[in-house]
Amino acid sequence: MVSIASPSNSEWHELIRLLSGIGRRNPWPLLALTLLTIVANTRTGLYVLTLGSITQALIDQNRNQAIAWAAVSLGAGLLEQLYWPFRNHLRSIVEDDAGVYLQKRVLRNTAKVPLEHYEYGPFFTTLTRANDNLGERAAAIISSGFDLLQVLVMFVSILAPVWFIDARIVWIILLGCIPVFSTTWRTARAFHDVKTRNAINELYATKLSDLVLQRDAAAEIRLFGTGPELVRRWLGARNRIAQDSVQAVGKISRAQLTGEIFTAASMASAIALLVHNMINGAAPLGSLIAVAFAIVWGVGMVGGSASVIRGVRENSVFLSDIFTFEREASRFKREPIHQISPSTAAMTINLCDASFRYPETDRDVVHNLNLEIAPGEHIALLGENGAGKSTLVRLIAGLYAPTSGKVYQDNCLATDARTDIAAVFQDFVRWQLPLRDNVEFGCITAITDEEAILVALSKSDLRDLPDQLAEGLDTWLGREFGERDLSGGQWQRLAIARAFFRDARLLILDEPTAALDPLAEQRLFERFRELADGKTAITISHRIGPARSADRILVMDQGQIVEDGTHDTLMAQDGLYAAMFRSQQEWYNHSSMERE
Amino acid sequence: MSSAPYTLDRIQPLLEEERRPLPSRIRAYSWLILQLRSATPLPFTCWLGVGVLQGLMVPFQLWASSHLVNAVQTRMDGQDANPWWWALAMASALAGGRLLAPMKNWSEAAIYERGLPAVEGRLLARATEVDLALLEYQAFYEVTRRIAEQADQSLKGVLKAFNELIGNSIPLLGAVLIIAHIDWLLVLALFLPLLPLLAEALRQGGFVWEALHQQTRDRRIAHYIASRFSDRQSAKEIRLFGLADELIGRWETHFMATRKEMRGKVTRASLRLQLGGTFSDIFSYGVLIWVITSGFVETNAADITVLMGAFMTIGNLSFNLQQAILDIGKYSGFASDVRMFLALPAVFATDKVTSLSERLLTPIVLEHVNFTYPGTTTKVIDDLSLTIPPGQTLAIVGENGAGKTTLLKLILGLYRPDSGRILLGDRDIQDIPVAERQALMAAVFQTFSRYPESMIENITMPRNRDDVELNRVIQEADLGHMVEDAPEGLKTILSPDLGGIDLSGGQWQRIAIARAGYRNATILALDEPTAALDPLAEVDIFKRFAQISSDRTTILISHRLGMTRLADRIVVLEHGKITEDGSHNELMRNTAHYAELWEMQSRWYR
Repeated sequence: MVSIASPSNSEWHELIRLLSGIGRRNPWPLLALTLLTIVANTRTGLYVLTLGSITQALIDQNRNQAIAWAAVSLGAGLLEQLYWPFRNHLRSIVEDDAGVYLQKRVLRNTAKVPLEHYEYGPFFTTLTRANDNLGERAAAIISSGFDLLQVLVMFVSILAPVWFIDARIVWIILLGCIPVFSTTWRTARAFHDVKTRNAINELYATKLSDLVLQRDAAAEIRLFGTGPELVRRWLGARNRIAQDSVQAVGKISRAQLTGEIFTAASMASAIALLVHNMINGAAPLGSLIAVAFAIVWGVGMVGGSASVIRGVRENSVFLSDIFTFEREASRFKREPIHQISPSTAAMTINLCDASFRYPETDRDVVHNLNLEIAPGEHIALLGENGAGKSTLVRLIAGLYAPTSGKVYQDNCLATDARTDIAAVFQDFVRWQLPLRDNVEFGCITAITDEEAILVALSKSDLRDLPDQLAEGLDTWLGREFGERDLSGGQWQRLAIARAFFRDARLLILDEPTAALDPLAEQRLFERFRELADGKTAITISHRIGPARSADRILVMDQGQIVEDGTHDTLMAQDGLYAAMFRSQQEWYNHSSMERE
Repeated sequence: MSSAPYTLDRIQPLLEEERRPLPSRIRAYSWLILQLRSATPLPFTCWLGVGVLQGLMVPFQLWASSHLVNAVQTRMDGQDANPWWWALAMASALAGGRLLAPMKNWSEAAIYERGLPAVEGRLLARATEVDLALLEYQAFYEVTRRIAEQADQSLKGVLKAFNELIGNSIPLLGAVLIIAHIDWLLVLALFLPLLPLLAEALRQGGFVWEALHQQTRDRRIAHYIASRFSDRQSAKEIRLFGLADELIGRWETHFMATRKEMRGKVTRASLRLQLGGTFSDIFSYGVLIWVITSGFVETNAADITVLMGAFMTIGNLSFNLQQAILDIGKYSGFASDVRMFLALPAVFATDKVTSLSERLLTPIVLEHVNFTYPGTTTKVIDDLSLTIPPGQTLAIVGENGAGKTTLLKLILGLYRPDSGRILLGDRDIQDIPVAERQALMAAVFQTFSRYPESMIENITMPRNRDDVELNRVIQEADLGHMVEDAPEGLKTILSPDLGGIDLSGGQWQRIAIARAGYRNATILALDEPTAALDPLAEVDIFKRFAQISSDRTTILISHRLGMTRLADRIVVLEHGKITEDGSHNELMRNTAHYAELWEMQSRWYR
């Protein structure tokens, strides 16, 4: 488990880097906000001054003086009134800037992490933590930072007039604040620790609530009646977290109480000193009354500032999640080189003693693979689930780096140059975005070519789709943001259109017809032959029948290529392929499969 | 038709928030506070009590300070007075407020940690109970997601706003009383101008809520895009197609969308509110100074202290109160969402897990069934009539989009037909209590759930463990090897990030088959049950199919015509209608659509 470092010098350094990052992007709101915060919050000092003077004027029954000071106070009041809308406005701008800066930075770093680290493991946890709710958190950091500044300025400006009347009072108040602040600072960690301890519980609860809220699970939940049980378990997880959390708060509260007693004692002394001054006529009554209120407000602020400090601490601890991630990610960033070169010849693939295992595991998923694929060859890749087929194609596509041995596309290492490859994976993405994106993502260039999109759609038998949708190519697809969802088969064909959109020299199709009905499947295989003509193609499919039309069949078992040949040669070998073929063949023949 | 629980009229108010009047939203707000109270009564009372006490400290301070000044002045005039008691009183007022703070923090934490989940749990429960067809209606689904996603933050906001309300209105009331003690006229002068401001704040709160809603869609899109980077599936395509820069740009566009506009609106509105405050200040100051200096009211230094103190404090208090009321206006929208959501009919509520007392197979009869998804106009099932004799294995074949899964869900009682009837035996399926239906039927859906629980619970949930049945289904679905290979056998958690293992798609499929089998239902529905299995595994399941489907009525949807051939009877569905109906041999003789499909698939294996 990655340890969470406490905010150290490097974190303050990074915090400054964050602020300067924002500053560089858009410095004026940041400066304006800082200036505004400092200047406008001195109004509290102004209040204390004018309060004293007005009170004195009223006591002396001096109307003109009262009015004059009232005007000053009103001026301060106007400042106050105007401060809040502008402060909120500027804060909102700065928070947005912070959010954008932070998120972009983290996303860029995340995009450079090699794919093999997306399997479960400590680093993946770090990655997901860093990516968690960045927008809101960035805002929270800025918020708490400026709240702290605000409170500091207010505090200083309230105590300044008091200093000039009796400096000892200020010392007493400051001394009284120390215990509260130090307790708050120390205990802010506690919340983060609770979170860390209960990470599994929280994850579990989130998984359950996600499940319950997804539409996909809705039918099964209602039919099986698992609803009450799921909710009960969710509550159980939340209650376990609650137990820990409330206990932690209890401890903190007890510590706080001790601090507050000291603060209370110091307040009492400050008041005593004040009364002493009052009795001895050390200053005009009005000023002393003002000091009384300054003390009252000052105390009020202590409470507010404690929570601000807690906020700053909590958020800085969160920042450390991001910094930890970036430190770890920088160890193995991989920058892919993307060049789209015109499709000339088809691609050659070479594997030399290539092995692969996931990070921090001890077993190879594929072992010592040697393979040569000639340009333009159509390969069918078969094997049981878990045999290593998906891993092999990922190595070929350059998405995984072999842990030993080498993988080449033409004469280039596969991981260095992912140029002309198009792929449809078994778990292809249903982009919850407009239709055009689902196709265009196959080849992102600056210019949108609608004709090309339509051509790609017709290649995978979806030419009619834009016409069926309300906004044609701009219609948002999917359940999240769209009006309607596509069927499983349509999504699959869309993923295929995406692959065809790029005029690639290597085509990889991983179970491309799982969701298609027989007619659609048939059409796709027919079309595929003509579309992949001249290109190197690898197809993984459980449907052994279509494998017959491949140039070459590879069978994998337990991370090794065990059979390599054509349909006829492999049938003659009577090995794994032959067994699989015959088992499927049986269904379509009059055989023992028939029910009487 | 209008009595149907999911007619869109019933949920219309939930969807159209702008039409909801303020009084009902405020009522919803107080209702929600009461729900939180009943979830955690002791902490809530504590929290409220401390809040009230802390609020009372402010007027107490004012009062004590005025007597303090009085005592000091008396002393300075040479008479006997003891200001120290009053100093002590003032000090206690200050200290009291601070010393109560830890108690407040503790009780607040208790409410957050216990009370909030209680309400959220009710929302989750209701989400599992509302009508299924309703969830297909996009707008409703979005509302559901929105409420659920915002619940935590919004509930905290509800409490905070309430806290601020109490924390500021009590001192304000206290200040009123103290000033009233001097003269009632002054009360009017100081407080009257506040009222229109507070009303305006309430109005603006609702407006802020709407503004947030408009942003919701863009925010959700932005969040979706950002989340793709840490999603394994999408990460692949991002790297393969080089989408990183494009997506980051998109994220920024959606994140910033409408923000500037909203910001401008909010600032302008808030400026109006604030300037209103200045006018009220001028008015109050004017009255105050005139009243005191003209001698209209008898005042001494003590009174002046109080008045000035109160005046200064009132400014602060009323500002906070405005904020609180703004927030209440803002969150009252959420509160009424919650209330409405929890008031939706719980069509699928069950409290009892029942098992069948006796296994009785009855025919399933569909009579002129029509079905259209709520909010759409295309008929998915069109005047369909079908009788399934008890114990029959029926296969449904057809192109994607023909209505196969919809038909299945109708038969399982998960959807209600718009017209026509579906009968089990001689009972209308809608008249059968939900718990009984759950005992009678089981299914393997295409989108079956992967519970973050142990292997055994993934099979048995929510029923209790019965080893006999468990062994039966392990054998039926060929799970033996999987159980042996798993590090903790049946107890292994099937979720890698919770410390367990990951299963392949095919392995999960077997679990789903076992799950359905475990129910030992009289009606079993299978929707593409072998889609994720490799050929040998698929054949294996086929071989056991006879076992799986014996002793019950089985309805199967599959593209693998080899499998459907095993059924007693096959129906072909096209555009919501049955176009062919018979056994495999009969349909082959028809040489229609089914025969054509069969030819295409079997051709590969010649």
